Amino acid sequence: MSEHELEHLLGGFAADTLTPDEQQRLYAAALQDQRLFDALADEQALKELLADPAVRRRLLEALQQPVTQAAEQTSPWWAWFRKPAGLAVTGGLAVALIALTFGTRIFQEGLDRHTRSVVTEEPVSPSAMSSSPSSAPPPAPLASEPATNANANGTPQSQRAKQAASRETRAARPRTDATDQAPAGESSQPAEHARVSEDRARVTETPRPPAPAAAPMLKPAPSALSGAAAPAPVNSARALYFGGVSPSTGAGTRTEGNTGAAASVTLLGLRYSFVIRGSDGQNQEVSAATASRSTGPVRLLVETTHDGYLQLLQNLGSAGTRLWWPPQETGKISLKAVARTRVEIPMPPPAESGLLDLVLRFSPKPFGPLTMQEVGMLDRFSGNLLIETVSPDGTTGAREFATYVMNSDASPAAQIAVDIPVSR
Amino acid sequence: MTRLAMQRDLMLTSLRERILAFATSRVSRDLAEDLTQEVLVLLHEKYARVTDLTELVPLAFQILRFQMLDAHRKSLRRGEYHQDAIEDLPLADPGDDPATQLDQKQRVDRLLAAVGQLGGRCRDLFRWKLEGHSFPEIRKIMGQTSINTIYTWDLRCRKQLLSLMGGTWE
Repeated sequence: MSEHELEHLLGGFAADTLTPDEQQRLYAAALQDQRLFDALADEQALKELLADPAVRRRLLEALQQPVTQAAEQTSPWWAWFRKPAGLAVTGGLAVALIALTFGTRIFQEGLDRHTRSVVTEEPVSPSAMSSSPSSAPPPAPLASEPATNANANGTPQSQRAKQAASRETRAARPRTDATDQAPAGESSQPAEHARVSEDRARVTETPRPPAPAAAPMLKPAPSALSGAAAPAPVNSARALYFGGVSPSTGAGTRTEGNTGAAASVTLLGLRYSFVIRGSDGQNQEVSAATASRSTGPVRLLVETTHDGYLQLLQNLGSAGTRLWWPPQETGKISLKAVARTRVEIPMPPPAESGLLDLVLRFSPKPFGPLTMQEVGMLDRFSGNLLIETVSPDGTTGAREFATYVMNSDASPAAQIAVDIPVSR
Repeated sequence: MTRLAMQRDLMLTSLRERILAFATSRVSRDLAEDLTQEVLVLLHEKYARVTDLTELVPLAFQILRFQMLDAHRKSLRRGEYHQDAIEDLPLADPGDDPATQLDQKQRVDRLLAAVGQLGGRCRDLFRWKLEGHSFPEIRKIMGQTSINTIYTWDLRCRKQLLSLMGGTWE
């Protein structure tokens, strides 16, 4: 046993229970080690205490008591937290409480995110479509039409995507409303349309009965339906705009007589396109990208389904929003548009940031003065919009660069506010 | 000079060195030398027959403690700590004075309270030691194969008890 280990015998020295051998080694070491000697000298005080028979008896009586009882008598209640077990339990409870609090929140957010992703999925499956051929909607007109870019707005801007997401979540109501107005020929739909209606109704918490959706389907997948090989949409904003029958005359053709589907007549809608003057002096519809790159004058061609009032706002970014059309010299906030009659609106110059972001508004009733608060709430008029951008299709020879916007809300107070981002 | 006497002289020499060093760490150098001298005088004159190491060393500790306490009491009486008039101080009592008795009682109370806060193993160890069991016996009682385990446990318990006592046995 080393000198350091001899310190272990100090307890026996005070209690005077060392064996002769232990005593011999301890005292011999103490004579050589000052530190051990000092420790023994200090221990002498305890040794004196323990040498008293009365004190020893009292100590033995105290030690006879159970541990818990003695601890309860000497330790306050909060001393429990100072013990390792108490600390572990307290820490565990705290961690569990924090995990429960944040976990619940994260789970709820995840649930909401999952629900949104379910809603934005394409609900129409080919198998379901083929399983009910007798109830298939009339796709023929659109199948031969120019390829449709089924993007929510046909533009890649993230802002538009955001609008599409919010529009999707509120898609149950427009589709159901449109179903009520749908013709008999379009009233029967595949079963999963009803299922999708249920899903969307669940999201919007609107207890509407699942309806055979004859209304236009939102097509958020940009590439799913583009091109001639892609199946034509059964219903679209364009089909609704033309009352379910596609015009065969192509772009630039008046469509007043094309009222084959009375159902869409009640829905508010408009069609807009960008036109430039071609080399032959004729107006020519171009895409938004082409319009943004054009050095010549570009005009916005707008046509509506109803008589109503139009106005064009320009988003100037941090500078706010201004009324671009009607022009200030007219002294009017909006100008009347006749149904199925095109209105040409000159394009404003881009903002200082170089971006050209427009908001086209259409309402059956005249607009009132536009306040900053209303500008910030324009999104509420775009929640029920069905937007479809159409581009020329080489296989059909049709030429049309246009965007169709339909408000599936058939209420009299419905109006349209569609964002037209044009990057320059 | 016999062999036992020579061994005793060697032990006393070592003891003097250790006692002087210990006393110097607690009191002044002069007083430490006086204390050491008084301890050795007692060991030489009064306990001349004690020659065994296991008796001589604990006896030296005991005498040293008495001498230090006595020196402390003398200092108090002489007013070395408090410059009081000598007329105000009581006469010396050869027995334990009330202050010493109170100090003894308080130390016992503190020890009882500290023992009550020990864990189960330490309480058992302390109890068995008070009952007179040696470490090898305690090893058997606790069912341990190594005596070092008992030494380690006892050292830890002693440190815990000392901590509960406030760091000193006094």
